[in-house]
Order: sequence, then C-alpha cells, then structure tokens
Amino acid sequence: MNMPPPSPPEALFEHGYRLRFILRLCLAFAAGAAALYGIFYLVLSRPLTGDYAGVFHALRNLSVFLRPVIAVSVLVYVLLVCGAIAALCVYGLHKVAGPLYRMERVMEEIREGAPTRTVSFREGDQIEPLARAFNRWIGKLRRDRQRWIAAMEDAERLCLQDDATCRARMERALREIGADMSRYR
Amino acid sequence: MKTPSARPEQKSRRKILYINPRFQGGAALVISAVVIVGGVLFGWLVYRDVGDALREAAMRGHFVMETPYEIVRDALLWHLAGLSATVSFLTVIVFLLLVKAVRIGVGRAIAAFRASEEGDLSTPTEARGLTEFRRFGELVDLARASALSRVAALREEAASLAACGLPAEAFGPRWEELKRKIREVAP
Repeated sequence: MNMPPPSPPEALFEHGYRLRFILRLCLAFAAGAAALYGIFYLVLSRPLTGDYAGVFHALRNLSVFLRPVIAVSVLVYVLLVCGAIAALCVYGLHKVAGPLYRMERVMEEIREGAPTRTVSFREGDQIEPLARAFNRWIGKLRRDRQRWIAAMEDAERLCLQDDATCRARMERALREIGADMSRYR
Repeated sequence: MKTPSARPEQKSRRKILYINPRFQGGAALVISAVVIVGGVLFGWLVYRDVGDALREAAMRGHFVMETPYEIVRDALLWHLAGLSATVSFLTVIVFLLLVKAVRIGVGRAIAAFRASEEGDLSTPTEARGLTEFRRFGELVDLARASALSRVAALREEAASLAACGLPAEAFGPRWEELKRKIREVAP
C-alpha cells in the first residue's frame, strides 16, 4: 500500500518561529561585529603624535603588532558569537527536540507493550501536527476497540435466550471482529 | 493573595533544555564552523589590507590623519560588513536546510501515522534526512509493528474461537480472555 503524500497540509512550525530564530542569529552576529569593531577602534584610535620619525615608528610598530591584535579580536568574536549560537540552538531548537524526545518515549512505550496514551506538547512547542497525527491514529484504534467490545457485548445480551442462539451470535460476532481486524496489515 | 501551590515539588524542577545533543549540538557546531571560517577569513583579509594600508601610510609620510583608525577605517568597515553579511547569509541557509530536514523527517512520520489510521501498519516510514529523524522513523515503525502484532494475535484468537466448536465451559473463559485482551488495545 502506498503511503499518503509525505507533505503535511498543516504547518509544522508556529508562525514567526523561523523568523525569530533568524533575527536572533543576526542579532548575535551584529553583537559580535560590534565587539570586533570596538576592539579595533580601541587599538587604532590612539592619536599619532610627535614628529615624522615618531609617527613613522608608531605606524610601523602597529603594522607589526597587527597580527596578535587581529588574532585576539577574531578569537573574541568567535567565542562571543559561538557562545550566543550555542545558547540559541539549545534554547531555540529544544522546541523541536523536546517534542521529538517525547514522541520517542511514547513510541518506546508502545513497543514495550505499555498502555497506549495520547500525546500533548507544551505551549510553544513546534511540530505539533506530529502529535495530532499520532493522536488521530490512537483515537482510531480506540474507536475500533470500542466497536469490537460492543459487538461482543451485543452477542452476550442474546445469551438470555437459548444457548444455541447465544453461541451462534457469539461466533458471528467473532467472525465480524476478525474481518474488521483484517483491515490492519 | 497568592494561592499556595498544590504541588510545591514542581517549583524545584529544572527545565531541561539540552535534550538532543546530536540535533541541537550538531546545529550549533555547523553554524559555529561557519562563524570560525568567516572569522579566520576576515582575520586574514584584515591583516593583508589593513597591514598594507598602515605600511603604505608610513612609507608615504602622509600624516594628515590624527589616528591610525582614520587610515584603515574604510577597509575595516568593508571587511566587517562583508563578514557579517557572509556569515549571516550562510547561517540562514544552514538554518533553512535544517528546517527542511525537520520538515521531511517529521512529514514522513506524519504520513506513517496517517497510513496507520487507515490500517496500514507495515509500510516503512522511510524517514530521510538527519540521523535523528531516520532513528525516529525506525521507532515509529517498531511501534506500528508492535500494534500490528497485537491486532494480528487478537484476529487469530477470534478466528480460532469462532471455528473451534468448543463446549460452552471451555468457550466462556476464552471469550472473556479475548474480551480482556481487546480492552487492552489503546485503553
């Protein structure tokens, strides 16, 4: 049997979630660039004073010390921005990783034979349609189970009549339930 | 007046944010790699251009500038703008690729649940993309297979009970047992 089309009609991400993440990323880069600029400005904004020789030596020395200055400022930039990115990825992506982890736990419970229960995500969590699709499946299973039990209980009611009718009705109910179950494959 | 909490132990519960190192940490590592490469490239370009500008200014002896910053300002600002634009652009692309991978992986799992609703518990999810979603797809398949095996066992039991022709004394307990097992399906 073919799977239904993989593209879900419902939006997986809350409106604005991606934009907020991208904006925060850009804010981190802007802060990093501002820090980088600040360091360069501090180092390079010392006034050039003195005569020709003094200024010449100041510029020559600056060009010599430029390498460690650049190395340190780039290191500061990288540490600052990478720290912000790590925090952003942990905080921002836990709204996807959290629901996924929750669903994994539920899948493991089903596999281990624990009673099946529906899933609900926390407020602000993304990929909500996954929980909805899962809950619809569980809801369908529950409705089927109720129908099978109802068929058996209907048959039991006829046991107030004679034994043969009761038995025939029970066997019919079992065949109906078996046929109904056979749609699962 | 504040209402006292019925479950004070919840106050001390820490919210765990770092749930999936491979997913969250992996994304942070990829974006950080972009930043590090951008930073190194920026450093090299600034060293080349700003260093050249300072040496050139020293050799020419044009000291109308009051600070070295005025000599290198344009080059520095251009490189900073280039760094920010490049890193932001590449990072946004990485993030959008990540979103696409999530969409593909979760979309396959949703399709599998929809198929399960229709009774198809055996067609594999075949979630593609990130390892996390492939693993999740496998878990979904295992859960569906487990549900299928339960239903198949119940179907066999129902069929055998319908056809066995057992006496009423033996039939009754098996009927009750089957009913109990059916009740355990998605209780």
